[in-house]
Amino acid sequence: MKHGMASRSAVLIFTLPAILLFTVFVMYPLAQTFYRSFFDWDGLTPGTFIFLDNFKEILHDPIFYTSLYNGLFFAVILTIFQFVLGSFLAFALYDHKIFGKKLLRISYFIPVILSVTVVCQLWMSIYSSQYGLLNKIFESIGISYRQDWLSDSHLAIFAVISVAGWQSMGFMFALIYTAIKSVPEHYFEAAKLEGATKFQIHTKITIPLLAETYRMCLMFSVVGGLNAYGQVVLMTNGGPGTSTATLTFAMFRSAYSLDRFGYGCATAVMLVLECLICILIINKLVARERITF
Amino acid sequence: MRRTYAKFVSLALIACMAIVLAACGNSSSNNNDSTATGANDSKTGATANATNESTNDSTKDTASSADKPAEPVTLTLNAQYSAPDEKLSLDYAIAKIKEVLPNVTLEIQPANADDGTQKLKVQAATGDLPDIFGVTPEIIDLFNKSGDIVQLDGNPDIEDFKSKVSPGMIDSELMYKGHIYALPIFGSFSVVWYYNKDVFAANNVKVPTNYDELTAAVKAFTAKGIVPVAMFAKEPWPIGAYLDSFIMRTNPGSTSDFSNGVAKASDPGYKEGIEKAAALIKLGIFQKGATSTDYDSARAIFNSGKAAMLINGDWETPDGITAIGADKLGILNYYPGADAGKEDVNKYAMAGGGGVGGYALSAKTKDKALGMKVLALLAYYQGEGRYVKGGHTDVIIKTDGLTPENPLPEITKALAADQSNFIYKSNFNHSLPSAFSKPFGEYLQNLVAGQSADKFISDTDKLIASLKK
Repeated sequence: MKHGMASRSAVLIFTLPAILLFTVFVMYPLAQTFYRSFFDWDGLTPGTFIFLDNFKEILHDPIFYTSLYNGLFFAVILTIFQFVLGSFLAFALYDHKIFGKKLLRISYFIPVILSVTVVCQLWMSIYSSQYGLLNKIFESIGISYRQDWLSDSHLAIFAVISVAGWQSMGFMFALIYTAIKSVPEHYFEAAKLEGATKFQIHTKITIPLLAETYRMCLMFSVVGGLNAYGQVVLMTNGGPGTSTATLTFAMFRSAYSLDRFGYGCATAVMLVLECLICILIINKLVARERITF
Repeated sequence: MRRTYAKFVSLALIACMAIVLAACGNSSSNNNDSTATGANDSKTGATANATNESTNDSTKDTASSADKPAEPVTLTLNAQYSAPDEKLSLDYAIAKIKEVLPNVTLEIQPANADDGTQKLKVQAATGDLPDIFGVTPEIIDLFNKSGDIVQLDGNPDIEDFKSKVSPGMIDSELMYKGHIYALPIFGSFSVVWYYNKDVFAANNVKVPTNYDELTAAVKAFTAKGIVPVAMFAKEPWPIGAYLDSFIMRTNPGSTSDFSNGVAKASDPGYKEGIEKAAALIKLGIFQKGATSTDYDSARAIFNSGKAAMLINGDWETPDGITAIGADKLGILNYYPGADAGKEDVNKYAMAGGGGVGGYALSAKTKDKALGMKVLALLAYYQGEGRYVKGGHTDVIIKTDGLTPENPLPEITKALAADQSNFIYKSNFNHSLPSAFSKPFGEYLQNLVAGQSADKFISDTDKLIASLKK
């Protein structure tokens, strides 16, 4: 009994700092955001309580729907980009015959450690309609496919997502590669003895055993896509017009450009709810059973 | 053993308490000192003033404490400080302030060219505003409501500055709702169409005076792979000014009329102007990627001879001359948006404008008296630097007795000669209320990105209607 109490106290003592930090830096701002979403507030003066009016307005705001669509689109494309490329590279590098594995591993991960500002500046010059490398490449191989990459309302979102995917793909690659390495070698050896091809080994053994890792990667990429902001603001500032706006951008726009912090908080609440719903769905549908080796 | 431990801990705690209380006492005493300094006329400011009696009138009444050396003071300053022209005038002003107040150091926080107000709003929300910062009327309203800005009326240094302002500009540029909240450097700006004479001559294209000639020039340049007009449409205001260039040639009003609900985009005169502007966009008047092109990049396209024209404020003249030469840089006499034969109609209507704004003082600055003194000196000397060093005639201060270091360029003289005829019925997009200017700026970008004039007009009309509710 005494042992149990002491154990509880120890748990409390050891978790208290983390709980306190989490409360101060996550729960309190989250609660404030929910509370402030019920106000007509400019961020500097006390504001007026208007209950659900901000939410009613959001539902009639065309930018909300554009942002919602862009966020979901961002999440889907980012997930496909990261999963397909990250998995392909991880599986390719797992092959013992590949030469220069260490160098390749490092080079795939380099974009992850670069600042988003540096990455965006780099890609903005690549995308430049006037002098950009991408248009020059098309020109040099004789294809007249010069595009207005960042100033075309339809193309700009693809251009921005590609940059986000390029930058974060290395992170997914690292997670998947590490997970493959953690699968016991004898599983593969047994499969080889049974005459399985590499493709069969990966589809029948590796990928099913990586289900939990893929679930985690899925959460990261979906939430990362829904929350996209840095690349959007640096490369297009939500434009042309609002064609590349995401919910995070719309929240910032309302708060800092229109001085409507209450409305911005309501947009943030919608974003939080959207992320929560996506995480609940992923947890409910993907890799529900715990995998042990 | 236990007792000894308890005694030791008690003594340690008492010692800690003593140290903490001693530190509080010391701090409190310092605070009192500084409060006293701030409440009365600052000792630091007064000392500095006294040492510079001969150079500044406002220093005469505060010479009593001149024998005490002034403590060094650092004030933070949020200001436009990226273009060579901005650096020239601000560096000049800071050097002059150093002569008058040697103990004062101004630490520059360069303002964003794209949208500096966002940073200020964040700084205000976190109580981290710089001591001196540039404001627009909207920021004045917001910060006045939140108590983040100092009302400057009645201060002797501010009154001294006011006496140096051209009388015609006091009501329009300095006073806001009956008070002074900010000290401007310049008055009204004119947005002009610069052109590169060499590019026109080399391609045998006539400098346009009306819409037909402009259309012909756009077609001729695009056929030769030359950008007709370099545009920095990452910012919405130059697109608004471009649109005004057409609207104002057939209509005395401008896009500013939309913000206060005086007119709709679908009204006669406005609609035709928008349609003309949109038709030229479709023809390729701007470079590809205009909406992601920033200020410096567009200027670089023009200065490198890859563009024939550039739409910018008249502040560009000195930098433009430096970049391409006085003999090559020209300004279209009036906007080439009028129909042939109607070139003289509304030819003095200018896009651009001015209005209240300039440097303001944070309410959280420690020594307000010193802050106001520095503010007055900064506004005056930056205006002086702008005129003397930069050769700009748009300054708010009286320029009698001042001589520009370099003779004024011919195009500046010509523009200055017409200044009294100019009619400013427009304003920069960012000077309009944000509830209008932000969405309208986005519609302007959509127009440049290829959206139809009809969609632009209907979106704008909806916005105007929603703001009237």
